[in-house]
Amino acid sequence: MIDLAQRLTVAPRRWTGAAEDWLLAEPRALYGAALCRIGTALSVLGLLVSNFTSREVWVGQGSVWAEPARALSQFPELALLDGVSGDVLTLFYVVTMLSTVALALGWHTKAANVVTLIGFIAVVAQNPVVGDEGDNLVRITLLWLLLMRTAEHWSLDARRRELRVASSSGSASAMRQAWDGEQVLPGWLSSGLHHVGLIGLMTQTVLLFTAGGLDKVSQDIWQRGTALYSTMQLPEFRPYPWLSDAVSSSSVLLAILTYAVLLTQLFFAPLLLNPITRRIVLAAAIAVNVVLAVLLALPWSSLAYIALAGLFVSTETYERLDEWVRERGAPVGDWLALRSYDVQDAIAAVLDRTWWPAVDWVRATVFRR
Amino acid sequence: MSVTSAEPSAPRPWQRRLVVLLALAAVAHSVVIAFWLSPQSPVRSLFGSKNLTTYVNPYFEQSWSELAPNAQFVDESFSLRAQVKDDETGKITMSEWVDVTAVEDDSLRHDVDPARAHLMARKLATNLNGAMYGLNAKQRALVRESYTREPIAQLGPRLLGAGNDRLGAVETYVAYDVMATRFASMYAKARFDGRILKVQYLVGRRTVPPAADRGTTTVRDKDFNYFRFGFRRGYDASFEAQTAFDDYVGK
Repeated sequence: MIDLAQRLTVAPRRWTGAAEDWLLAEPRALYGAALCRIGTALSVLGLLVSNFTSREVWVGQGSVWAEPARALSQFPELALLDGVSGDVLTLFYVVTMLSTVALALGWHTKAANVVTLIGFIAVVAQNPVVGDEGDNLVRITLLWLLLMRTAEHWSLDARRRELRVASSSGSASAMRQAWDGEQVLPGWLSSGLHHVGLIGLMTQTVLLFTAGGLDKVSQDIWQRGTALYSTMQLPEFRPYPWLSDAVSSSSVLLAILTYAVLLTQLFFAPLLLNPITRRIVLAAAIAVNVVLAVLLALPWSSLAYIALAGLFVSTETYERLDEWVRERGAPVGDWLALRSYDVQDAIAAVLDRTWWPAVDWVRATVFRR
Repeated sequence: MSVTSAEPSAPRPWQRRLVVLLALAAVAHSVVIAFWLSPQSPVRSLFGSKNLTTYVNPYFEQSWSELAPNAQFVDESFSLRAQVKDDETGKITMSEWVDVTAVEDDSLRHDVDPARAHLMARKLATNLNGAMYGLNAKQRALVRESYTREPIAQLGPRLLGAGNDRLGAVETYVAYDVMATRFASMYAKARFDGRILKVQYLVGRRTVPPAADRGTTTVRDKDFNYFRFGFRRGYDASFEAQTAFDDYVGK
């Protein structure tokens, strides 16, 4: 009895200790986080580019007809575009697009993540009537990514850090470090927040896949392997009618695709537990989403799902992939990186000659400081 | 990766506890989301639907059917016509019916990343169809009447007079009637020359035949079943809003 009581008191302490060690260890899944950042950013960018020419009628003044639906929305970000002119909308829209480019490139990543999140909500939620199922997923992903260290790999921030360390250029102010995407939080907090974000986003993904799979498996039409037939008959989901007809006219092809969707969602969580089945389910989930992107004209939400699936790929796999790509793409990558620094230098030079003198002039003459 | 050279010291006990607390908060959040995503059950009721809604809205809003693709069975259409007055001649004419969804479908074809604007009429039709099924027979009869002398937003009290047990359905319907009236007016103004006095729209729905019948019939062989609505007073959008619509419709 005493032994049991001891165990009951010791076990929670041991678990808490293990949890603390796990949370405060070196950040995990940094490559997955980087891929998730890039994929989600490209998904937002693709959506914004696709709708750029019709932005006025989608979310601008021309969307006044959707006002009753907009009035029900609780996003405070909507106020940013409330009643603005077409020019202001265009400016806001372009800034959001630029921030998604910066997020994808990992250039001042945290700031870009914040601007992308706010811009995405402010733009997309303006017209809830034509909202897409993937919008919620993208928003939630961007929210969790805020906590995570997503710029440790495949980013200009990482490249800049490497160059600074190599040149031993000394320490900068905390503000400057934050702007440059460097770690300003204490190591324990940075790692802890990264892991908290990782837990939140991974759990969210698993929950969504499982809920989606359970919902589908409860429907007779999914059990029979014909669920996608009716969807592919609807005009909004058949961009290439000949392709939709080719898939839906073959019972076998239709069933394979339907079951692939069902099984990758329903068994996503349990199959992640084993390294081999994890590779299978992730490859299947990515392949299914690539097919659906083309077949059902859902490229940007599919890309967001693929980005999330990428979070579960192991670091070892990414390192092998990274090595393989670097070997083959090093010359091109170096050239591009050098050009990007040339561009940054040029921008800095322009700012030095225009913006900063103007600021100094205002400070000296207007504020007299 | 840090630029500071000092070796980081081991986290203090309070720092370790703080991180664990944050992780527990993430886990608790995930549990709440799991209940939000789960179907109605006694366990879910413990949280209370209202509490769950308050928690997830707006930032964590999501649904169990979120994960595309879903099986969808209904093809919808949105058509409109308008009474147009030529202010120069004073002549009043009634336009032909325009199937806006058919125009949208042309834009969707061969476009793998279609603009969302190409789905406006279709989504309105989807929502109007859904809203109509929420109304009772008397209320549906009421929306078939014309309301050209009063703002359509005042239709609510009349509908509630015909069945006050459906407050949510009536609110939803009136919201979509307002949206459809505005959309139809702006589209008509962009399409026809003159002032829009009143508009009328109808929404259709047809169901995709079962996959087993695909050799003999497709959804395109089936006729739409229509919900008809009365005339509504034309909505005058601002110059900027109408210009945006004109540019989109391609006057």
